[in-house]
Amino acid sequence: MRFTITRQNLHNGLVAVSASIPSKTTLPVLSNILFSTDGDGIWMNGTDLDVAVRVRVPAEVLESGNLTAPGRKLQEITRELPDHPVEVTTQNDQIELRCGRSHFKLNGLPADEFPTLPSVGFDEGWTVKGGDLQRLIHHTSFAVSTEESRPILNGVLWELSSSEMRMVATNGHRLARMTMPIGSSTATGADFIVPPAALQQVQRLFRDEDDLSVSRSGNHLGFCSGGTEVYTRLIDGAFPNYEQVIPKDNDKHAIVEKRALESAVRRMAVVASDQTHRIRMAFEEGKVHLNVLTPDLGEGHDELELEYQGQELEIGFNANYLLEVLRYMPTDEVRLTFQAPERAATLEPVSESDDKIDYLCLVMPLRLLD
Amino acid sequence: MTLHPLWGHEAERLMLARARQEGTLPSTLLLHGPRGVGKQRLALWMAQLLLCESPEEEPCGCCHSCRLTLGLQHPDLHWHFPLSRPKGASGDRLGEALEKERSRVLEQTRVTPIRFVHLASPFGIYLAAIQTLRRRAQSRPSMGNEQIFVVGNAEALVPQEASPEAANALLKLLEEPPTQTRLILTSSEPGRLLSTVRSRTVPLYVGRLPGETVKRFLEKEAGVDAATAGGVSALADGSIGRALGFLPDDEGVVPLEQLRLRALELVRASLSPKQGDAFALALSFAPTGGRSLVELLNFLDQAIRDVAAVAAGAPERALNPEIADLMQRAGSENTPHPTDAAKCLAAVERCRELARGNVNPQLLIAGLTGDLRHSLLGKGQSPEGSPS
Repeated sequence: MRFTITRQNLHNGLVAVSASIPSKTTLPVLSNILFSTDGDGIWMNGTDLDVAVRVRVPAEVLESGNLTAPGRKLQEITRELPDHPVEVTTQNDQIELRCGRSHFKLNGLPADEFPTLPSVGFDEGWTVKGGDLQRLIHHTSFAVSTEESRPILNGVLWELSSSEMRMVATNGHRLARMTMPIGSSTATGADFIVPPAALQQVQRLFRDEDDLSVSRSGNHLGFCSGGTEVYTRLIDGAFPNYEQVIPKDNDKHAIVEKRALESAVRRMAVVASDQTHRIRMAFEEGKVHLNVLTPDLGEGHDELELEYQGQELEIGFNANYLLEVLRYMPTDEVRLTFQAPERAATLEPVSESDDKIDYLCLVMPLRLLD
Repeated sequence: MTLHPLWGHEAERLMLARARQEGTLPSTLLLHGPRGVGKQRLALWMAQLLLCESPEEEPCGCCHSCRLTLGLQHPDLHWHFPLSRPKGASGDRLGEALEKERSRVLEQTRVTPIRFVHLASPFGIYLAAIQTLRRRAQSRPSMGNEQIFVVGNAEALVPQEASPEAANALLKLLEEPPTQTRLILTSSEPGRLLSTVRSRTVPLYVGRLPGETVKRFLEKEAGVDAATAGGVSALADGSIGRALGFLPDDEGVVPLEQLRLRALELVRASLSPKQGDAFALALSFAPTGGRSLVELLNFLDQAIRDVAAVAAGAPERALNPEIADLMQRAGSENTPHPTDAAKCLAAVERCRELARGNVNPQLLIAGLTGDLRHSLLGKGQSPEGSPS
């Protein structure tokens, strides 16, 4: 294999792919990037077996071929190279880089030791706007569970239909759900449970203005736009029926300024218990009282003005969950709804414009001890 | 380097291959049988067959999947085995440290696939390793249609008494493996597996190999000359793993020969008319590290079996050629009856259990030789009065 490439193109390709290379692995070849020539460009592939990234960069190919070479070392070298064309050649299992007066030889591994990347055909699938997908990922993936006891909750549920797409994530204590319209579709509806690591790669590699093709093949889901492809292994199993836990009959409503509530909750969290992070919120007409009492530490009290409709209510929350959910609310005002102290509360953005955001977060309350 | 070909076990291979073809292969298998006969190699062969792109009754051996499996590089093959507990690692870091150690051992196996594997003590398959395995099992296969988890020496899931956490953590997965997932456990001591593990797996006995197969393996795969291969295969007792332990390593040390000779010393001391010989031998052991005796006691089992063979007038059946000479030196009045030798095996088993509990080796050996003397010569303490 022999090709000439600009330093910038080589570096960009390596940066894109390197993030998918695992830092620790039992398969040495996974520390490498697979290079393969293709017409007037080269493909670079990297994978940690859960997520695979494939990027095509323009290059002048003089001799076709393929080889795997250590990804991180190559990235470190190209970062420091002068801004000259880089001549890359391979000999047996070695890759050689020449750039100006710099010359490097690195040991690689044969290309056939590299795992076969999933073959996903993008003829049938969905087309989504990069910006819409980024928004969905940003507003939901934070709620994914990190506990291993229920692996199904370690992923984001992505429901795709012919007209809209929805993402849902939960850890059993709080939940985030967002719906967006879809560009176009040549496939029927489908649900996937996608690992958040793959969604992070999608966020990192695609721009808002990109039109992404999304398609599934067997165990894998693929994202493609231009010369960049991301593949991910899907999580196996059935996602819990989240609709069941979203309350439909919450009759108490509060509208509050997001920043003011965030700030008050953060103040209360300072004095809250390190174990439970419990704060008490007492809603009444026109205001909410925030209280915290931690016997070993002390107590705190705060008060906030808001619009409130319904009977007076005292409810407890984990301050961290509440803060997390508030952080991802896209509007200045949020609507909170409740039914009873032991029932789930919901938070939704309040938008005055016509394009209503279909976004809902749910937080389970904590039992209050008198 | 790639794994060496699987030698022997043709009947088991055929049965497994046919079960795969008929779609009746269980999701969870337990391959059990003597140590070193190739149970893990058979499990890896099975994995190769399941991952092969054009399998028949044998994996094709030349497709991309087969090449990756033979190089231990297939992303859908996860091979777990007992490891020493990494020092200074605990909590979340233990899982990472164990994966690093597993990676090191796998690399060593890739570079030197044919080598004697001496399980260092203490070793085990720890909870953190099973948590890693469980996490992987929840994902779908990367390349093939299935992912295969091989857990070698699965008795190490309970590294010591009252530590069944790792074995318990595997139960759910054994009972309901996710789709496209298979688990193959191997064990040379299936009795040490939790009954709940045994009841969730389909057992398949993998027996000893014919001596001729072991000899040919040594000649062809390990490059040993015919004379050495013949001598070593006689000591190997149908186990390739054990035969490799009787070959000198890079430093010229023969790892299992030391243990074999030590077992013979135990028999000599037990047959000696002077009880002081037994105590002197006990004192030559270190006062700590009882678990290290387990392997020695396996050799003692064999030496006692040889005592019975010689006592029964069949010295040619003895694996240790020195036993006949040793009994002759002890004198005709000290020659035990074959049934007395059989009674010794129970004493060795009791001692083995105590060794697993990490009892002081000096006490164990003193008690054991007392028991052996009582059984073989009718002298010394009775088993009830002994420390064991």
